[in-house]
Amino acid sequence: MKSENSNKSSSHEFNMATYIITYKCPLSCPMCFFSCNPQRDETISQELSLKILDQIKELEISFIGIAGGEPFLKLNLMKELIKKAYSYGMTAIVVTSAYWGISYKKALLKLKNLKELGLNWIQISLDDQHQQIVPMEMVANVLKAALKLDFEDIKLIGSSSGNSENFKYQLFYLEQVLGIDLKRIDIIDRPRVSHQYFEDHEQVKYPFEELENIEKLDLPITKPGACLTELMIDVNGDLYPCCNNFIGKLGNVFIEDIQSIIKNLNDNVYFRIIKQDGPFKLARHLDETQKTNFVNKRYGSWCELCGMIFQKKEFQDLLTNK
Amino acid sequence: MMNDFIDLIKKGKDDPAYLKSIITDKKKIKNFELTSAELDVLKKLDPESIKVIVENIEKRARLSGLADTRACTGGTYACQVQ
Repeated sequence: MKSENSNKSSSHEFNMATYIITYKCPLSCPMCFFSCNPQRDETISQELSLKILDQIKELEISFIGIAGGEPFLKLNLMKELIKKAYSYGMTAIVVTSAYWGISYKKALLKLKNLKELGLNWIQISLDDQHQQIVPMEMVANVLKAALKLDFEDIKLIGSSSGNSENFKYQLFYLEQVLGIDLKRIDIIDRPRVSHQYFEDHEQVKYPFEELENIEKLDLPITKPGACLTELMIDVNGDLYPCCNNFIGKLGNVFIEDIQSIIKNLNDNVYFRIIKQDGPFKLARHLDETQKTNFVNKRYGSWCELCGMIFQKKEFQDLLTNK
Repeated sequence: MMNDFIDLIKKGKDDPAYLKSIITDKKKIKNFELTSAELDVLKKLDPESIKVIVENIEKRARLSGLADTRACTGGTYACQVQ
């Protein structure tokens, strides 16, 4: 039976909430959303993150992402989140670089332990930057272990855009040289990378009008409203309505509960514009009312346009209901 | 090493004759740091097959973004819902 609170919040369209549990990472990839690296150690509070999980449960969100940084560097925190999510009937998904897959045996042991706690979905990052530090053999060890343990969902997340064209060859290597059965693995070609990386490396830029008619471009995002279905909780408690922090934050979950933050979100005119019409209409609106110049520039994707809008200091709080 | 292997495959995909000339020349192949598993793959697959496999993988990666609607963190769920 739904509680009174969950009825109140049933109008939201979020189906996933991802925790960035730490900025600590053995890697320091130039395209990282959060500029994670080995020296950083910001980590979300265990007590607060478990408390937030109760609020997420109330919102009837059934997928929980555990990412970073490298969540395996905060193993105990990750285990507690998995355990509690599982006890709530949620699906926990861990995103990792697979740096810990030193051997198949060790990878199997680690994953077996996590599976016993309720983990059944795993996602591994695969691209030039990650593979500079994490040899492909480690990725293969983790994949083999996840396949052996019959994980329900195994994803390889790479990018063939905004990166070199190596993704398909890395997959070829995994399949042909390291013997991974790619047919049992979801391959995800990620469309987005961080602001700075957009500036430096994005290969293909489209004029605003062309990107607005995206269905002709063969890009992953094809219609307005397809975005903004995932919540992201940053290490510091900032809450975003997207899988990354390009977009403006909604509020802070350490100060206010998530239900209160998203309760009136549909009344926020800027959120509604992006949800209904994509960031284009918002960009046009800002150009007309705030004398910005978004329309005359070129962008690699919708995400880049969104990022460009919200990285401007004056627009960072457009989605905050205050 | 993987990078040398990938370089060879990349070139071989567009220029099968080049790849053939490397694989069949013991002196040339020594210039590449290849493991025995990598060498085996290059000997087992002719350049045309390599091209087909790479293109199929590429096609699959591109299509998965449109076909799969299962949740995925970090930039891939929302944009795949059709």
